[in-house]
Amino acid sequence: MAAQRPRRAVQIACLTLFVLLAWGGAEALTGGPGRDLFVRLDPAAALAVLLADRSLTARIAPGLALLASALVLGRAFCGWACPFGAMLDLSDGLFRKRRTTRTPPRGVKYGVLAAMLTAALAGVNLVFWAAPLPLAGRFWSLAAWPPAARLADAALALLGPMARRLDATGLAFAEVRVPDYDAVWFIVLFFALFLGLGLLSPRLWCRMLCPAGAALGLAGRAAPWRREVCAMCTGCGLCARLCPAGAIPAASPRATDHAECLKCLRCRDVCPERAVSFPLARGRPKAAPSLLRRALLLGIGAGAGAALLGHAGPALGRPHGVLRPPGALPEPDFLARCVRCGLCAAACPTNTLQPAWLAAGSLGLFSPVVTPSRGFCDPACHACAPACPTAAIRPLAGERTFAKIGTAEVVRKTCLAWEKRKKCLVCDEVCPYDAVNLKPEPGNPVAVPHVDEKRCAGCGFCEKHCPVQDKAIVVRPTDAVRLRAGSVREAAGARGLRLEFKSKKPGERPGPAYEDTPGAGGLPPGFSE
Amino acid sequence: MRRRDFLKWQLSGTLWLAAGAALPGVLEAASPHPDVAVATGGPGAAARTCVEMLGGMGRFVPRGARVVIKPNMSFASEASYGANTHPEVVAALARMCREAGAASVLVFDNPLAPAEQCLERSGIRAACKEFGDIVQAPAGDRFFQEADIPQAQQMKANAFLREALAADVLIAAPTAKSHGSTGVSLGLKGMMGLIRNRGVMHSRHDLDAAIVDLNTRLRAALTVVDGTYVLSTGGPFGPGKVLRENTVIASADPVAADAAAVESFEWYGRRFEARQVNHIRLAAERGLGRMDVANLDVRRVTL
Repeated sequence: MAAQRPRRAVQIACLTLFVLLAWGGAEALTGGPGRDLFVRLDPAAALAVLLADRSLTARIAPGLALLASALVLGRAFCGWACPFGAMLDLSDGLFRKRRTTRTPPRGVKYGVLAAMLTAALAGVNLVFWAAPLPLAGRFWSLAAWPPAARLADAALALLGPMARRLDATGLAFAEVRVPDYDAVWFIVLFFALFLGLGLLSPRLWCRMLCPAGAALGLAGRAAPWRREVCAMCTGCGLCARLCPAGAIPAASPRATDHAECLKCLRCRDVCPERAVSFPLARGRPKAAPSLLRRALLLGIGAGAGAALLGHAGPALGRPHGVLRPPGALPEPDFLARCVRCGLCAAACPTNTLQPAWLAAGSLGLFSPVVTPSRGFCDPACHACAPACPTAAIRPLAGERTFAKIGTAEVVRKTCLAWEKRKKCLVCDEVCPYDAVNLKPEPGNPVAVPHVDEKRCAGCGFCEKHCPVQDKAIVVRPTDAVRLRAGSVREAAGARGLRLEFKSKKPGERPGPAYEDTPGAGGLPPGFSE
Repeated sequence: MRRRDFLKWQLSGTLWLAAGAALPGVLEAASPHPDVAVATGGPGAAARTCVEMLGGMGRFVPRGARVVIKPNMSFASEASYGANTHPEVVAALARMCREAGAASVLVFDNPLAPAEQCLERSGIRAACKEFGDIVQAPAGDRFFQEADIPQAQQMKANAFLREALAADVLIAAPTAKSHGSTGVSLGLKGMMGLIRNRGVMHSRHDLDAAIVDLNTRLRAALTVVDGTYVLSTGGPFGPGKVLRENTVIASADPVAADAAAVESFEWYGRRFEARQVNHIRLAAERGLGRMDVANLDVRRVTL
């Protein structure tokens, strides 16, 4: 088993790296971004984004580069590096005893790829259903991280009292923020299903469904690094029985389906005659039996149909749309690029970014939505943009505070000041854009909040901190500034917005914008005669 | 201290002795320390002088005590903005507590803006670095504990910071600032930074009464009001008119400290009496302390 141990080690290392990156390891260690590095390698996601968005950005280059590497190495990535593949190998190990060995219809994955790319060409990005790295990203960041964080915080809670006694105050009050995400049960179910497919045959996902595997397989059909069998082969068929990819026909173990081969080298390692080798071969291999045409045609048909449905039926979502993170491209472009890896939500420090269920429409499944009732969207923060593997969320450099994501609205019938006539100024107090103003209202003993739409950036401090259960001030996606390119600051200015974020940084002097004695003869707020 | 001040102080002390024999507060009045100490000068030195005038930190912090200091660090802005306590005041208090032999000194607030930014930009964490990681803004459930407020009229319970409940000594170290709902935000109002559910104080209860309720449970042994930069309008968050007063006011009586601060500074361009601030008046009425500043022994020094 010469190659199996190092291969296992590489797989575990890649999975660990993937998980640590998704959990913010790069940020913690270097302070820089890097959460998305591994996810960007997905060739299916890169291709779909390329076609759906009709754009080539540096962000998707790693996926395309990996695809190019298949020209030489075939599906080696699948066998050695793919974190999803590693997870499947691990779970397949558990199922070994119960398995019914059936050969799955491996052409299906080409159909899946064709369907995704056809839909992408029609402008509908469905790749999030099946691209393996975004899928794994979504699982690890949204489903696996919260319980892991809870565990870590529980450990800190156990250590806390002792740390406090030892005067290690920093440790005693250390906390691991435990985020909470919507639609997690569905993500878990989705994943359990894919892992459970291992009951039928090993690596069933990779052999039958994975569009990235299909793309790499197609590119690597004639890869020079490939299996060769010499004359010493006795045709015992051991390799065919043990091949996890079903790439060796049981009837003729000397043949190889190179588009299926994961280059795991198991056949070489188990061959009693040492007849199998993986040299860098020259020339084209003998053409593999083609299962392609029908699968491709079916896939194209399915993709076109799905795109048609997608274009016809987006009305499932909220009619006025959803709040997107700052810097999000205009909605159709955003959906064309977003691969739903969940990394932006995982990077969000206030937990305001949540995977959508159906709020964003059927095409917006799992896409990130700002949810101010859970957390504000801090104007001094843009952690989501560098976490995005496809630049669906644009980095905005110095203009972040001008990226208006929506507008707050006062819901008068639940507002303490408007309805209950109780003094409350929380929304005004917390607004960092000075967009909420308390004004006297005839017949009301207390001042009531008004939102200045031109100053409001939709950050949601007000909604988050509003003390009533049924929020009396809510942010809606009205007038969001979302651009494909160009300066959001200028765009905001051109629309007459006066977005002035009070960054309150050290050294900044208070602005001149204060009111002296208000009202002739009246008392300032909070004082009585 | 100037001679005249000293004479005044002596005179007022004698008067109190003469007049106060029948008053319940007589022991307090007869003590050698003033009711309220007011020092003008640099923030750290003024804070130290005030506390020394009141008898030194040893009067409040016994050897081995666990101390919690509650400044304002709820906003991500520097002291000169007026919304947070000056870091040198907090550091001076922490140092005096250590000198008095406190077993532990912690500095807490429950910030409105992101906690990290508040601790950073207020400058308070950096100023207290020499004492260890004592400046904290815990948010997790495990740092809070539900507790009753037996003497409450409205807010009968809330979730308190465990450490604040367990502390032997609580020191209020607010900045002097105006507040759109409560007139001013000083020591009494500042206790809202040691509980988790501040929202109910606005929504379910009368805010002024709930502040007094809270102070029946969290009793500051010492209140040190930082009037270095007074946010005279636009509080509690600013921006507003900032008065450079370079004054620190301290008292063992939390109501007297707030009352003296109200009457020491201009608010919205005019002068107010302490009774004109609802929660201070209610606190005095409910026996938490005195707001009749004119009748108190207020000692002033300029550094």
